[in-house]
Amino acid sequence: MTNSEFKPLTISISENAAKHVKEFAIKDGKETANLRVGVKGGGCSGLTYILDIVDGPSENDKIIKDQGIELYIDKKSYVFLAGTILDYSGGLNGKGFVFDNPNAKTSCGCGTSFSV
Amino acid sequence: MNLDIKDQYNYIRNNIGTIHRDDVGCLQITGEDALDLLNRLSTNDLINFDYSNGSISTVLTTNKGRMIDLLTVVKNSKGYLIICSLRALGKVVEWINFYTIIEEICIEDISSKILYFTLVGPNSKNVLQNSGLSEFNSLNIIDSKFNYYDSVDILIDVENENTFTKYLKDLRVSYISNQIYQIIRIQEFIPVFGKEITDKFNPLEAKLEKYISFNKGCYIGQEVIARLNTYNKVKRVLVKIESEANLSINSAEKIIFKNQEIGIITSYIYNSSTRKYIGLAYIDKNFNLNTINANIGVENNIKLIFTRLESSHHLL
Repeated sequence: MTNSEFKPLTISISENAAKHVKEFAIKDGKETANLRVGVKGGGCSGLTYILDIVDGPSENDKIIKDQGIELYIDKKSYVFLAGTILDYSGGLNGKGFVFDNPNAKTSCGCGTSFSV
Repeated sequence: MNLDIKDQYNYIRNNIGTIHRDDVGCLQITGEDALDLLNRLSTNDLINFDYSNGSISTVLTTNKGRMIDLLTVVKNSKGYLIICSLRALGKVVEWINFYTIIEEICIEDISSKILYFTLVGPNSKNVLQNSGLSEFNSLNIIDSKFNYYDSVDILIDVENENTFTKYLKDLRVSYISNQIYQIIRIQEFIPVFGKEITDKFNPLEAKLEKYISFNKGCYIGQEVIARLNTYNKVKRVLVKIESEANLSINSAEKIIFKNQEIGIITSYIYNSSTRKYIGLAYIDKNFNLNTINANIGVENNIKLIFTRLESSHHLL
């Protein structure tokens, strides 16, 4: 593997998604756009994505800074999300926030849950 | 009770009998997210159920909509009790633990600390409720899964065993054998773990629709189960079988009719009161004959009579 092919297993957010997170944060009256990203059991496929605008990290959270936003991920969720890119799909067929998760073997029809 | 199976079977038509169910496992689940997680992992609406009215049953399903086990949930002073098959208990715990990610939950196997009884016979539920059950600490009344037999399940702390046994004796409730339970549960189309409930079958095939909420929202396997139900795509259906043949059915045995596999037998037991064998089988939903001569394992030309749940007006 060459250096140019190496992709660290982190979680990133696209510019478009970051823009929408900042807009939601302003609507929520938050001074900074901090986003909790995680998964929980349930949903059609087994694991459901969680997105929440929060004030700050919890203890033992992994903190990732990207596109001017702090992403907080608990360690167990990180196992299921490593390598994920959080994007935003707009327009008539848009789904809102979209997870491009390389760990997901299958996803449900609405895209909010996945299996590994 | 020193009665044979036939007499025990007749006994519960006029009297209350009890079966000690040592095949039942029990988990104590605590934590503020416990019910929410269980609701996300299983088929029934556990959130909007009024637990002061008793217990609720729900099916733990895989993301392919297949069954892990049929659970019964009841509220107690610490949180919730999950009643499942003792044989499935390890799998149930493993499944819940796998999906516990951010939730505040604690699960404890309390199977060795409880005793589980099924009481069956005329007016059994009312007799119990009207006769001083309140003297027992930590006693839970569980709704029976039987539809036609009058029945109720009781879960008590093992330390109350002697008091409870005396209480049953005072009520003239006699112990009956587990074989009677097996006969009744087959008559009532009740699937059990390891036979009808396996990860090869879904709850619609097992006729467990009453434990599925079709409007509660997402749970694991929901998309598949909703699609099977909406588009009528269920391929197999659980039926009762009756035969006079003494077949050795240790695991699922194929039913071959005219060189085609039309189903599999999952349970098979002798009912000495009718002198016939009864069992449960999954058969092709579109197979519409009620009496056939089939090949089963090494046995040829076995007469089987199928009864579908819908046409089973009187089961006793």
